[in-house]
Amino acid sequence: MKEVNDLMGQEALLDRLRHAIKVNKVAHAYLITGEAGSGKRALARAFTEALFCEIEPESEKQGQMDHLRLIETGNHPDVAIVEPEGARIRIDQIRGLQDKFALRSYAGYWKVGIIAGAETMTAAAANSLLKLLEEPSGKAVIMLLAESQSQLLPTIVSRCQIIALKPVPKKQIAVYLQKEYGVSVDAALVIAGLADGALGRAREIIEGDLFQWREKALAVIAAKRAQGLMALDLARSLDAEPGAIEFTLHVFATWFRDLMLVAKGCDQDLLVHQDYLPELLAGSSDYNVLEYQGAIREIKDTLRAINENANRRLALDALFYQMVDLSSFSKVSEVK
Amino acid sequence: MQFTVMQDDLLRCLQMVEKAVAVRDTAPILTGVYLECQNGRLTVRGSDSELTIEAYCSVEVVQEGNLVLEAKFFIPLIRRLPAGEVTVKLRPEQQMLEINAGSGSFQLMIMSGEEYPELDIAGREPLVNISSPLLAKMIRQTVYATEKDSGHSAFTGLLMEGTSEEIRLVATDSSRLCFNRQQLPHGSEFDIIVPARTCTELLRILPSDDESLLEISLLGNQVVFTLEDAVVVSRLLEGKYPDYNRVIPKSGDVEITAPCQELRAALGRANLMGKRGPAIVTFDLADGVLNLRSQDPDLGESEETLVVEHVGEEVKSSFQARFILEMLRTVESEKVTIRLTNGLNPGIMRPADSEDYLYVIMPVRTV
Repeated sequence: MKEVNDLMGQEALLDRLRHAIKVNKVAHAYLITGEAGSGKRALARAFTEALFCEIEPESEKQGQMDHLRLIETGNHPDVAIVEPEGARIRIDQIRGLQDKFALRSYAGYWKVGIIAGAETMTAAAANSLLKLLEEPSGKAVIMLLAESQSQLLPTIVSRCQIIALKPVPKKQIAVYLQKEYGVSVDAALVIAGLADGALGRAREIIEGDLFQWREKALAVIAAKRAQGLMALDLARSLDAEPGAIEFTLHVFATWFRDLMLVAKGCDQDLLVHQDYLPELLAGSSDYNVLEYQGAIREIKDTLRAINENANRRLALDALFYQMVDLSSFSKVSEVK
Repeated sequence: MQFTVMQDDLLRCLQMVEKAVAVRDTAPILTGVYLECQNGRLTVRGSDSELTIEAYCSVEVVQEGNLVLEAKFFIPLIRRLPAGEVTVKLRPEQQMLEINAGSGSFQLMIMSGEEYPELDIAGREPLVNISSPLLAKMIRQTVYATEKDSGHSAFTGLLMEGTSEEIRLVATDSSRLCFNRQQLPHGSEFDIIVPARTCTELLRILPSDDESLLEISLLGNQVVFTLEDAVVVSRLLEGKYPDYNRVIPKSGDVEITAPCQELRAALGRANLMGKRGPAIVTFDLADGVLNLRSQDPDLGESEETLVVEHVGEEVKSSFQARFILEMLRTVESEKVTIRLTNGLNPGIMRPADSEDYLYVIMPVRTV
């Protein structure tokens, strides 16, 4: 049941893959792309389950195996999952996969290899995968999961059939959140907006209790006085809870995006922070679009710096301080 | 689950299955050892989903049941226990297994036995029965020639081929090829490629007494070796084994027969001349005297002569010393026959008294 929901909005892709099984046109290799939380794993798993379920009844000889349960618990002997060890997928891991694929399948049906975070493969790992992608022995399928195909070697991409996950419409996510988590209509819409069409991310916002950080972030922006102090206070609490940094910065980025949209008079349905419409209307005239753009760029740079091990506290302090005085961003962007 | 077992029985079972237990696996349950007691018998199983080994011993069962224990702790513990009775008892309320032996008492965390992959070999399709020591000898005389590193081809396994009259084992790494056959009536037609690791593990647990028979059978894509007190199940390798008959030369210029021990000792010395790479030894044969020469520019040279039985012309050919040594180590006869051909044609070796064990070796080009 949960699986079906995870794949909400991607049913067409799964149908396409199921059809390929039915007409016996399953490719050797698939590249499933989509943002973090868009359901790549869910799709890979649903496809894997479909491969083992669409077994024709006459070959029920080994039917005692409970494929679905084994796949769910990660114990299926014919399904190998490769994940980054640390930050990268190393060549030894790909060699291990090749060793597994050199064996005949355990159950006598498909052999499935799922490489999650395929963009983290080292060049050596990716190159050693090429041969396996081209001609795996026996009935075998390899699925590579990556955020975008541009992060992979062209030689890898050209050997795969590409399955691109599309963002799920905001309304659809919102309805799901209301039903599944009992979130209010307004909150559901905002969360759906912040999730950028990735259902997994929407769930993470709710399950990780991240939504409260939006109030804290927007309080800084809405404050009339002592904005600088509030900003530093937010930086301090974020430093203590690094898991919320990405989300909070995303709230700021979408806020400036909304300001741009309001300033240009766009449809309100497109706004993420619809419940703050008065503040957005008031704020949109304060600065010009160039400055908002500069702010968004600076937020992205800061996030990247933090992910690359910059001092969290310093980076956040600097960013928030600048945000209080937005005009500094346009200067920065001009210099750049 | 509760039973009493002799420490040496349990340890013997654990040592049999130990090498099949996954060291690090995506399926955490496989890093454990599966135990099941039923009808006065204890089943011990280890598996990494490629290779599964199961061993049995008789125990005094108080209460039937099954569970999985972390192999890394359980096996060393049993190894260190004093000889004598070991009492094993599950405390269900704590999910702990209590082990009592001598004056010691140990509690181990358990994993659920239901999660462990089942092994049901009832539907297997028997291929052939063979005596354990014979199969062990055949494996020993072939498995060393399988491809070790790189490549994921059929060459990393051992070809087992059966006809109604004989069974054949073949291994090659494309520099040499081992062929071993034994008469075995009432067999069936089959050809399977068994991973070298499975064969090595099988060799380790095969009993050495001449009486015991073992059954080779197929279970889907897996091969099953059924012993008296153990079962080994292994996945097979993909791919088609090349036609090895084309590789085995039918004739040669010269045939020599040499005493195995002496040749082995001489080659052992020649093999030392390999600092930069593998030692190459040149066989130079004239008038019943075999001259063995090897050299290494950084080390020096070695040369010795051996009197051999010699049929044919003069001949000169060079080989990797290690390859020949590996073959000689597995020969049980006193003498070995080598057939050589001038130029870059393969040499062929066999025990002097048998045509059933053939070793084809490619020569090395020397300046």
